[in-house]
Amino acid sequence: MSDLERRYRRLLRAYPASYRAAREDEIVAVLLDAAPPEKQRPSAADALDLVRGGLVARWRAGRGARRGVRVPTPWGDALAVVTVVLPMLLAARVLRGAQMATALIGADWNWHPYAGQFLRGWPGPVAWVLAAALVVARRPRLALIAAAGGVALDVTDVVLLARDGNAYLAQGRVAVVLISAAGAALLARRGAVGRGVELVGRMNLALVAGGAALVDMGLNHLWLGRDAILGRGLTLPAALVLFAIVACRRRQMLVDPRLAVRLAIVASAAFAAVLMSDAVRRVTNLGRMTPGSLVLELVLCAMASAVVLVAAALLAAGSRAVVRQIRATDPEKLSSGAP
Amino acid sequence: MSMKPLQEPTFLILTALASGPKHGYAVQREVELLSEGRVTLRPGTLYTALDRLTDEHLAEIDREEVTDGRLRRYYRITGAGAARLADEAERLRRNATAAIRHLKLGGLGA
Repeated sequence: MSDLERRYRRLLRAYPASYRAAREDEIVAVLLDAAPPEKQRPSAADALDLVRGGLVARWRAGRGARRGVRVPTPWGDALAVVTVVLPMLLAARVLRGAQMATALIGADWNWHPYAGQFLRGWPGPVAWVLAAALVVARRPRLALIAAAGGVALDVTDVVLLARDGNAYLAQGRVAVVLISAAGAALLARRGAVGRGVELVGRMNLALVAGGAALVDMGLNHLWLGRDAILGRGLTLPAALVLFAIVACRRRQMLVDPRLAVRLAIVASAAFAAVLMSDAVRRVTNLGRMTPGSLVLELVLCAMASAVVLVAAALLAAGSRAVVRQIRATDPEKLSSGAP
Repeated sequence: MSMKPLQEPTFLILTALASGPKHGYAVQREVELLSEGRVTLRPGTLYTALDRLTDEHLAEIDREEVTDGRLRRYYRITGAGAARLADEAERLRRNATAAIRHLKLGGLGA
């Protein structure tokens, strides 16, 4: 191997391992063909081109061509799954508005000052319902527009809350706004929606949306009857557990354990971020909580974290078991990536 | 796929493949020739574009060969790719003809 070739191969490490396994020799051949005989080092332009190509390859959500080079993209696939599931979770908030309205009809006018603020937070989730429907209908560009609307409405809600002096509620909503923005940004990735729907399945997405909405309503109902504010962060882990169960119905996803593990990592990171922002809010508002309710909240959040981590571990372990089983009986099914 | 206009590098790659299957380096050289040296496709950008083309089923793999210890993978245009290229070429031709005609009408023609 010449010096130049070794240096090129080192630059190619910018590409993910699976891509390199399929393509590295081919790309090196093109590089060496194009290089004049006296060339010893890759130029700066070469390096920039390869690093950028590597980054693009890492984040791509490719659909696997029929007769192209089938390159599994575990991170790309994991992100694609998150891309389609997140709008479902964000849309699940929409039933809260209806719930608040029916609670008000009971003429419990003590709630009145808060009710207005909660109802004002309603248009955002409605926009996300539209985005979720467009995701399932595989219209990524329209879904992105609806999602951008949802983010704008969510941000307006937080700004209005803060302006009215309700810092506590505003802080709680910041995490949601960040997740909302992330959800919209993910929808902009080319091919992500198609790949995500392909991996998860429309039926499963509908189940996640419905299940998350029910969980959200349940938690909201508990909130309406108590003084302690159960962290809304519980909706997300509950929905993730639900999703893990639903994903097990979909063997296609589990055939690639790398995808399941990466998915678990992404989900756990998202949940940890929500928890942390919730914790920050509690710490800054310690004065208003009774010690009892604070302890209750921390215990509930610890339990929720444990459930999510267990679900992630089960998903990873279960997928390994499925792969081993398939390997034993029908090895040909284990092509690189989904069929 | 949408009927958005093709970007120039993608258009040139499909053009290069339309005359027959080629491997990566041949595509690179052909594109440079076609654009009279204007468009140099480095391998990173070339393969990003090829990946996208194969994803959209506009191109596919033809065969693989090993010569002088170097792996060469040949790509070819699909039926869908040829149709897309033809549509795009027709669109550009109509635009170009219109531009030349209008320049003549305005007394600015070459």
